[in-house]
Amino acid sequence: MRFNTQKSIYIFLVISLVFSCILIHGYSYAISDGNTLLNKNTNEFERFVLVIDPAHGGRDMGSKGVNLSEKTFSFKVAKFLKNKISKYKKIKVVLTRDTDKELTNSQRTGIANFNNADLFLSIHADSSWRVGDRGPTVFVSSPQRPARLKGESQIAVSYRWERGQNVHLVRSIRFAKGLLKRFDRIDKKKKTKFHLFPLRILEGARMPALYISMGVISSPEDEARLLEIGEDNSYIESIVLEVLSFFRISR
Amino acid sequence: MKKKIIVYSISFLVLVFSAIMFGYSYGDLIISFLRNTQGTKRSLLSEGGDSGKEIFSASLYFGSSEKNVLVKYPAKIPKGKNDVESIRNLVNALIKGPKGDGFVRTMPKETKLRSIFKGEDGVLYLDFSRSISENHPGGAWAEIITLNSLAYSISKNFGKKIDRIVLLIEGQEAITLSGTVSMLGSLTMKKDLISEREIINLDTTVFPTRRIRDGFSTKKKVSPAGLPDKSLEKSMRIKEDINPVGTPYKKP
Repeated sequence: MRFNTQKSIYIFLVISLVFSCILIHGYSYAISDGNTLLNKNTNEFERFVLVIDPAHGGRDMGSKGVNLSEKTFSFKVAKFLKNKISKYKKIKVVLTRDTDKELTNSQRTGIANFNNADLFLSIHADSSWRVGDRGPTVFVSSPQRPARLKGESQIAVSYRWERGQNVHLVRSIRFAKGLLKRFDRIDKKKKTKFHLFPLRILEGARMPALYISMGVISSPEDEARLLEIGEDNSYIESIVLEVLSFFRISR
Repeated sequence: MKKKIIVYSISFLVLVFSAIMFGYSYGDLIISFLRNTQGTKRSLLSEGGDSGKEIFSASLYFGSSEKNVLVKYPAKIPKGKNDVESIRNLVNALIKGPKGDGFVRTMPKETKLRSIFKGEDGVLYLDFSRSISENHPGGAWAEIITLNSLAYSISKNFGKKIDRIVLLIEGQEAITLSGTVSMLGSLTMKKDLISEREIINLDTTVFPTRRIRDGFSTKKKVSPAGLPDKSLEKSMRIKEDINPVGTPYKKP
């Protein structure tokens, strides 16, 4: 076969164009930490979504201490968590409220469901009837079996709001157990409490969901500890590490 | 004979005169003594907020001041005309709170029980004023303690007559007490919530009234969490048997 010079030039140009395209694509892949720059939508879908819920807000103050209210404390902690976790590009952090406004439990869970969240954390600071009570507590929703109404089919019962969390309970407990281990390492004298209860805010969540009480705000000793919590606090650091471990992201 | 009559009449008059004189001099002391004894009787009866004639011994469950558990508190509650009236007195005693060290209250003292009535199928309705949620300290654990204290105190004393308890706030069925714990679903009674001094058997066949909303009359053998046999936490330990969705695989 004979090739004239014009044809061979065309073939060379096509091959070099393809080669340069491959090079550019490879370079963009390398600098974007595994995600292509060319397809931004795919990148967005590949991100994990974490919804953090600062409890209470607006007129609803939540539990009250002498110098601290639950709504301000939970908002502060949620902001710290967002700042720390947002540094990881693979996680998108959404807050249920970014101002001091009142939301119902269903609205908060609804935000997590609407965003197709992979994890939902509700941040609280509880009160106690007992004066000396202290330390953080982790709650996971207990399985819900709402009573069947007259004429209601079994399938309709299974789609009830209250049963949303049932499927995700195992993973919620897995996250909780990991978090408890980390919390126990911080304060070796006081073991972190863990309970399964039908909590309104968790039962409709269609993803692993936890209620984290950072301490007992009504106890003066614990209130003083909660007041001093900053961004580098070991409890906040533990939550961040557990979130990374849950999503299998290396630091 | 006449002498005898005169002597008897004189002695009778002397007795009457001395009684009158004693009455005049020590009467105020006697009246104050009588008032005091009546007062103590009233205070004993007023523990339940009602002045019924009969009283009965009941076991109330208040919080412990040392641990996060409920402890048994023996109390004398006035007996009502019927069981519903007696339960009203019992709930009022819970609102009034415990006396003595070692116990903490489990309900806000401002709480008012507006009405109480028994519906069909052994359902007991307790209608509280809004102050129960407004004055509640808040938080999941505090709510759990309140609900369990109420449910245990009623079920321990009237368990055979009541299958379910439904809480109303200002006449409306309450979703939560203070915004956290759902009362529409079944509320699990925690075994470790009760102190070692008085552990309630949670076997449904022995003690059916263990949930506040539904499942009180459940006769199936299920765990307190509502799952058959194995607890959820135990199933968590087998990591290999969990599929990506999160539900445990069924073994053939």
